[in-house]
Formats: sequence, structure tokens, C-alpha cells
Amino acid sequence: MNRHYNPWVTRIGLLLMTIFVCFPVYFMVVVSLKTPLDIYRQPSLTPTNPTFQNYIQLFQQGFLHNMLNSVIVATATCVVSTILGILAAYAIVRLRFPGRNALGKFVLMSYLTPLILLFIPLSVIIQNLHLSDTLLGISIIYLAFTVPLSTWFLLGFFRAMPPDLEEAASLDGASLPQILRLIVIPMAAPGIATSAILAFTMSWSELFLALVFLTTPNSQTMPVALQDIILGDVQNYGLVMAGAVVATIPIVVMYYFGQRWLVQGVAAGATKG
Amino acid sequence: MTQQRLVEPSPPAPTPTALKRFRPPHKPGSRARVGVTFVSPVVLILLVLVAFPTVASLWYSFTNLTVGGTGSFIGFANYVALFKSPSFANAAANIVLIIAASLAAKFVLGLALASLLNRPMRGRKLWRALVILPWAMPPFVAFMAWRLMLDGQAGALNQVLGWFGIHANFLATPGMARFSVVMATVWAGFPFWVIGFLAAMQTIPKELYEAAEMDGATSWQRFINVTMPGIRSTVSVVAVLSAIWTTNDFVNVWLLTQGGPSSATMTFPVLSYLDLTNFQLGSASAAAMITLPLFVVLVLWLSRSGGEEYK
Amino acid sequence: MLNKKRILATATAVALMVPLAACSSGGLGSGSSAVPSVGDSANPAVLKAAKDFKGTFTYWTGLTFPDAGNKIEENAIAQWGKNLGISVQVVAVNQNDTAQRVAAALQSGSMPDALTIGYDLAKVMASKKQLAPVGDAFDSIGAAHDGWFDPIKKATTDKSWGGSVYGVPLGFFGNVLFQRTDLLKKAGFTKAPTTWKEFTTQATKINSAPKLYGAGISLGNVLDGNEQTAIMQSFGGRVANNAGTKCTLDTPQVKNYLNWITGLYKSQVIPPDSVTWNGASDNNAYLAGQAGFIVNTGSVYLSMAASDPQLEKNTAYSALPSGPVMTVNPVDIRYRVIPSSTSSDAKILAKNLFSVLAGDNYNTQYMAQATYGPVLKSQAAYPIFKVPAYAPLLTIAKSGGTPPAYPDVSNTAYSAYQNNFSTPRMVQRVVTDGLSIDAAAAEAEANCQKVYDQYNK
Repeated sequence: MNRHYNPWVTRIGLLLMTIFVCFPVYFMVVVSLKTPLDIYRQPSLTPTNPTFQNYIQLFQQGFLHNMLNSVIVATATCVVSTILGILAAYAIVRLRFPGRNALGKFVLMSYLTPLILLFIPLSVIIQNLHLSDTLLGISIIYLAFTVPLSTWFLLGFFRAMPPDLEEAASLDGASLPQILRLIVIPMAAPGIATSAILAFTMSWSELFLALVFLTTPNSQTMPVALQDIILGDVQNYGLVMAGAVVATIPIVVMYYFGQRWLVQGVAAGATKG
Repeated sequence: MTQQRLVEPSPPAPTPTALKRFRPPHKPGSRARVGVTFVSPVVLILLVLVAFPTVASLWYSFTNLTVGGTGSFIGFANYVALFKSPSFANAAANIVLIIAASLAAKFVLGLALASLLNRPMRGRKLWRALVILPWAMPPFVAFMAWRLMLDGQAGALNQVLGWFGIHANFLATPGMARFSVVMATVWAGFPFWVIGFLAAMQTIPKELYEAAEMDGATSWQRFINVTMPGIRSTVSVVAVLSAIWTTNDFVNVWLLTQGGPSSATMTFPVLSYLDLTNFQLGSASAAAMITLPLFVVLVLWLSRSGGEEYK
Repeated sequence: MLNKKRILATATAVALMVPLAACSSGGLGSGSSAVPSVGDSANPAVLKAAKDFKGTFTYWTGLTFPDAGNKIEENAIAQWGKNLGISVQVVAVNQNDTAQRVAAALQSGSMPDALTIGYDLAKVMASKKQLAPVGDAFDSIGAAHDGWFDPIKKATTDKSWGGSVYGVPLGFFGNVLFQRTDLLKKAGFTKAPTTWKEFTTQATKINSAPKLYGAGISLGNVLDGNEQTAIMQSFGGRVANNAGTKCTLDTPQVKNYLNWITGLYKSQVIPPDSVTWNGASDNNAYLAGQAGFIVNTGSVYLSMAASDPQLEKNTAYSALPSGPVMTVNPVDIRYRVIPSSTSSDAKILAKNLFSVLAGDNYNTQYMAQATYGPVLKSQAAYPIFKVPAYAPLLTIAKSGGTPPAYPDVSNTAYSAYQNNFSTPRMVQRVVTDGLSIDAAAAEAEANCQKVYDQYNK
């Protein structure tokens, strides 16, 4: 079969793809290694007088603390929305209860609702919960988009999963929690991993709500800190790009190790049906 | 506001009859009760954090509420004012323009790269990880990087163009600004299409390709006659989701042009945001609500065309 | 970027003020009548307040451009707390985000005991009774330092504040014209332009687009773009009438201004990038050596001094040119304020802190590392204001500076007009959308009127 594919088409295609994907990322790294003077006076596509000064300054400013905040918030929302998503999606697919079809539609609608609509009323809610400026508060707010995401994604995944094994286990007298723990979750692992990665990424990257709700330096997450880097109206792109690179690395690492599930998680649902 | 992730759920799959027969190990009544228990946290969250805010925003859009002030019901006045504003025509045109252009580009790129990555190659997993990179990056980071790429002085694109003696003002003229927004939006979003197409391509039975080969079909013919029909339903789902999210996207335009120059790249989310900065909560909500009918139509269409899966 | 954040800040502030509106005037307006005299820490009232004060005294500083300046202020406040034996927390707030931070804090009831904010926010907060009067501190600090400069005093005590003083000025952002002397000399100019006409001649002569643009002026929807309003006013244009109710943009003076500015754009003396939103056409272009003139308040100077001394050597600084009708050079004052929610002990302490931070020894150091113009007459002697880049700020403070909005009436509607970036938008309608000058002026007046009607009900 291989001989029907011209390897040169593949190679050139991959080369073009690599340039297209990597060029902006590469340029980000280049700028992060330049001094403020060189960025404007010596525009270049390779680092001139490369220096790690931007990175050093970044961490001196306490960027690590902000990263830690982001890890806490993203982990919390990711775990909660994944667990709730598993329960709800499984119930909608397998447990017959009145209104399950409407609920499925509601989840889809929620998933697609523009966040700009929710922005103002959410601030009222968080105030009434007395959770302004806390990591707990922002985590709860993030559930507004991670829960519909997880639920909807897993809904699709569970629907495509054959029920044979669950049926067999049930005949053997397994309880519902046992079935969930021993059969459904292991079988749906790629889907669960995928939805978890997506939920984590969304919380990790979120900027605008965090800007509103996290006010003191102690509670600020990474995107807010990054936005804070530019103090005056002279833009230090070097420092910003250093922050951007640091913010991207954990996500890239996660996607690299998770891509097995990500592509397969999506593919699996389709092939298993 | 957050760039929402476009997520491809498992594409529609035929529902096995076994599914309908299967009953988890409880009596019917208790099964329903367990079901309700399982979904109640999600329902609560959606009601409080999504449904209530949406209804509240809808209400705001019919009032003249301002920051630090009180508002009263003013009917459709905000919507009328919106229709009359000079930015409206641009925002409406841009929905069509930016979405159509970026969807078309994402479709072509997605299909091309999915076909490419579906070929036999060494290190396929690595390549697939690479292609996901733009999508995996935090969106505001991606668009900040693009802002820098397009910069007049320090930008990378102008340095490359400089080799050919060209200088482009990527964000300064209406045409170029729209083009730049579309380009960056495509870059940040196309991997979703690649993943979706790849997943769909893998569901196409190998036998079909083999049969086509036996008939002496070229790779292009195989693509047209086997691949395309196999991924059609995925295309429509991916396209609708992508259209919805591009309509709602805020970060792309905001970080690149803020809707400018003049209002050449204005979109409704940006318009809404600008109203907020002027303390006009009522008209800000109206600008955010204006795309709701379009959104409902798309979602309903998705429910219908997406088959069993999305109902 | 600056402006993006400012807008974000405002928008988020807006979002947060909604609940405030709903439950307004809860615990506000607890005006303390026990007014202490402001003096050194040995003042018995201050010492008593320090003894009675419980908890941590929190001050939100406004970040200025060089980090060294921020450190000086932080250390001074920490030292002050140590002297009084109270625990102090200094939170550095990006000035672009102040409005948003304040709104969030008001909402969650976590306002600091005192903070630094800009003129516009101070005005909004004062009108909502969210600030405590500090007239006594303003007077005594002025008296201790040879008095406040006139434009500062006028702007701070203006009747639009409602009869009280709500902020102690710590500095101001002003407009200084930066110019490339090397290029100008080569073209035969040795004197800084004093009128926009001279400016046009010089900028056009040195212009060699696209390598170098004569006038690095911003026409975008950004703070720098709003300098256009001042220029328009110097051409005799007015945003609104003397009552501050009716917009007056569809006038020969405004069209005269529009003719001039759009002409500069069309002849490519102003870079095409000027209509974009970030500093591409002014600050960054100047730092890249691609602009002959820019208007700045010192940040570009500090950036050059730190990383591009050669460019700094080739730069001269002068006051904003005059228009054919008048000179308009607004001062954007930064205030130290006390929220009305602050306890009465903390109010006494805050006023004491303000007087300490007005000390000349401290400010000699601080202002050398910040981007502010002088507000107190004693500050005229500081070495930094003899540095060419800062000297024009002293001139502005002494005479050239005009109160915010001048010659227009400073009211909320005017602030909203500026927040809309209405003047640069009007220019963009011509240069970007190809509208005629008549049509652009008429449209701008109609849009402006909508804003004024909203605020003047």
C-alpha cells in the first residue's frame, strides 16, 4: 500500500506544515531572548545577543507563584468537572429518567453559550457567595464552561460505547458503582483523559474572568500576571514573550504526553461504534 | 470571552440495539432516582452559572442600566440604537466575512493536513502532537504572538517580506486588518479540524480503499470517492461548532485590532465590550444578545443534522 | 497594550459595579469630622491613631515605569509603618488596572486604607461618595512645600468636585514633544516647533517614509490617540458648549483641524500604523528610530536612558506646540486618596502618610525614577526636572499646563467622550473609511450628543 503514496509529497507537506505551525512559536522564543533595545532597533529572525535576562526578570517578579495559582485553579476545575461530567453523562446515556433528552440539549446549549453573556451576572453571583478574590471563587466560576464541556464530550463518548460489558457485569451481580469504577471508567479512559486535558487547558488559559475576580497579587493566576507585566506604555515585548513561552510549556508537555489519548480519544469514539 | 475550545465529541455512531435493551442493575424507579442524583450537580451548576446569567443578560438588554446607576425597562431601544450605529453594519458584515473566510481556510488546511497525517510516515505521533500545538497554546498567548508577528517595526512577517522589498501594514488598512484577523484565527483554530478529520478518516473501512485501489483509482480519486463521503457528517458538525465559536470569539479581534482601524474588524463581542467600557450595561447586553438568534438556529441545525448524537 | 488593559480594566470595573448599583450607598459616607493636623509622626493625634489602629494598614501604590521608582515608594511606606509601629502592607497595582481593582475591592468590601488613583477615577468615585475629603491634608501639604502649582490646584479644587478636595496630588502625566535633533539639524532646524504649523513644516521636511515618519502621532483608539482632542481644542475646536450639554463638533474650527491632521496622514508624514491600537506609530516607532517626533510623558526617555543612550543623545524635548487659536496641554493628575470606608484612625494615619510622602528628600529620589511631572512648587528644585526630558514637565506645571478637559467643561459626559476615543475615531472615519471631512464632523457631533444626553439627564 505504501508505494501508492509518493513519499516526497509527504515530506514536503510535513515541511510546509512545520513552518506554518512553528514560525510564530519560534519567533516568540526569539523575541523572548532579545534585549528591549534589540527588539526594535535590530529586528531579526534569529536572536541577536541572546540573553536569558527576560526569563530571570520574570521569575524575580514572582511568576512562579502565579503559575502555582494557575495549577491549583486548573487542577481543581478539571477534577470537579470531570467527575461531575462522568456522572451526568453516564446517567443521561444509560439511566432512564424523565427529561434526559432535554438535559442533553441543555448541556449542548450551555456549552455553546458565549461567555460574554455570562460575564456581568457572574460577578453578582460571586459577590453573593463572598468569594471574590479567592482561588475557590474563580474555580467555581470556571465550572460555568468546564462542566458543559466535560459533560458534552463524555456524553458523545458514552453513547458510542457498546454496553455489552456493563450488561454482562450486571448479570454477574455487580453494583452500579462497581460497574462505573471497574468497567465504564477504564473503558472510557481515553475520552475522560481528553476531556480532562481540555478542561485543564481552558482554566489554565482563562484571562478575562480572572482579571475581574482576582484582585490581589497573592491570588492572581498566570494570565493575569502576564497581562500585568507591561507597566508603562513602552512595551517590553521580550518580557511578555518570555512569560508567554513559560505559560505555554506546561500545556505543550501535557499535550505531548496526552496526544495519544487526544487523537485516539476522539477517534476511539468513532471507531468503537 | 474566554476562547472556548472547540471540541469534537465522538462523532455520531449508530446506536446499537443492545444499548436500548441494556438496563443497569436497579429497578426502574431506583434507576431513575440514581440518574437524577447523578445529574443534579451538573444541573445545579448549569442553572446557576449559565442559565440564570443568560436570562439576566437578556433582561439587561431591555433596560438602560448603567454602572453605578439604576436602570429601567426601555423596550427595544438598545436594539434600535444598535441597528443605527455605524459599527453595526461592519460587525454584521464581519460575522459573515471573518467566519466564511476562516471556515474555508480551516476546512482546506484541516483536510489537507489530516490527509497528510493519515499517510504512512515515520514518527506519526510526533507529527500529530506538533500539529496540535497552535490549538493547545493559551489563546491569548497565541494572539499576542501574532500581534508581534504582524508588528510594523519588529514583526517577523515584515522581515520576511523585506527580503522581497515589500512592507505591509498588516493592521492599518481595513482590508489588511481583516486578512490579518482571519489569518491568526485560522492558525489558532485549524488543528481542531485536523483532529476531527483524522478521527473521521480512521472510521473509514480500509476495505473501501483497497477496493478502490483494485479498480485502479488514483490517490486523488480515492480521496474524492472514498474519503470525502466518509467524513461528510464530521465536516458539518465541525463547521457548525467552529462557526459558533468564531462568532463568539473575542480574544482574536481584541488582541489584534480592537475592532479597528475605524470599525473595519468590529465584531459583536467587541462591540459589547466597548459598550461596557462606556458603562452602558443595557446596550452592551444588547450587542451580546444580537447574535443569539443565529446561535439558536445553528444549535438547532446541529441537533437535527448531527443525528442521534446531538439530540 | 497600555490601552487594551485600560479598557479591560474599565470593562471589568463596569461588570463589578453592577451589584454596587443594586445595593448602593450601604456603608458609604461615614465622613470623619475629627480632622487631625498633618505633621510629622510625633503629632499626638497621629501617635494616638497609630496606637488605636488595629490590623494592617494597606496602601495601593500605582506602578510607575521603572521598577526602581516602585521600590523607593514601597520602602518609604514600609519605613513609615515601622516608625509608627503599625503593620503595613503595600500592594503595587498596575495603573492600567486600578479602576478594575478598585471596583472589585469596593464590591468585596476589601478596599485598602489609602491608594493612588488617576484624575478620572477620582472624579467618578468622589461623585459616588466613595472617597473621604482630604482638604486639610491638601492645604497643609501645600503650605509646607511652597504651595501647589496653579494648574494642579485649579484642577483639584474645581467646583466640579462638589465643593471638597478628595485627593492629594503626587504627580501628573503630561505631554512632552520628543524630537530627533540629529535629523532636524540636518534639515536645517535648530529650534523646537512652538506651533503645529512649525511642527508640520519640520516633520514634513525630515519625513522619508516608510523608513522614517516625521510625525509619530497616534490616531488610534488609545490614550495616546486622545491627545488629538487637546490638539483639536488648540485649533479652536470644542467638544461641547460652555454648559457642557450640547456637542459642538460640526464647526469650521474642528474641520480646520481635521483638514490638517488628515493631510499629514495622507502625505504619509504620520505613519499608516497610527490608526492601530497599540503604540506602533509613536513610542515603539520612536524607539525603533523610525519617527522624528512623538508626544510622551517620560516613559520613552527612561527606556532610552536604560537601553539606547545614543538615541537619547539625539533627542530634544519641548512643550506641546500651540494651535492657531490657543495652547492646550492637559495635566493628567495622579492622586493619593482615602476611601470613605477607611476607619477614622486609619484616615488620620493615611493623611500623615501623605504628608510624609510629600517630603522633599523622598521625592527627590522618587521622582527621578518615576514618570511624573512636579505638583508642589518645592519640587521645581529637584535635579530630575533639570534633565531635558523632564524640564518641559516643570514648564507645564508652572504655566503651560491646562486643567483636564480645558477649554471644555470637565464633566462625566466629557470623560465618556474621551473614553470612547471619539476624536481619533472621527479622524479614522476620514483616513480609514474615506468619509468627507464634513460628513465625519457631522457624524461625530451626532454620536457625541448621544453620549452627552445620556449623562446630562
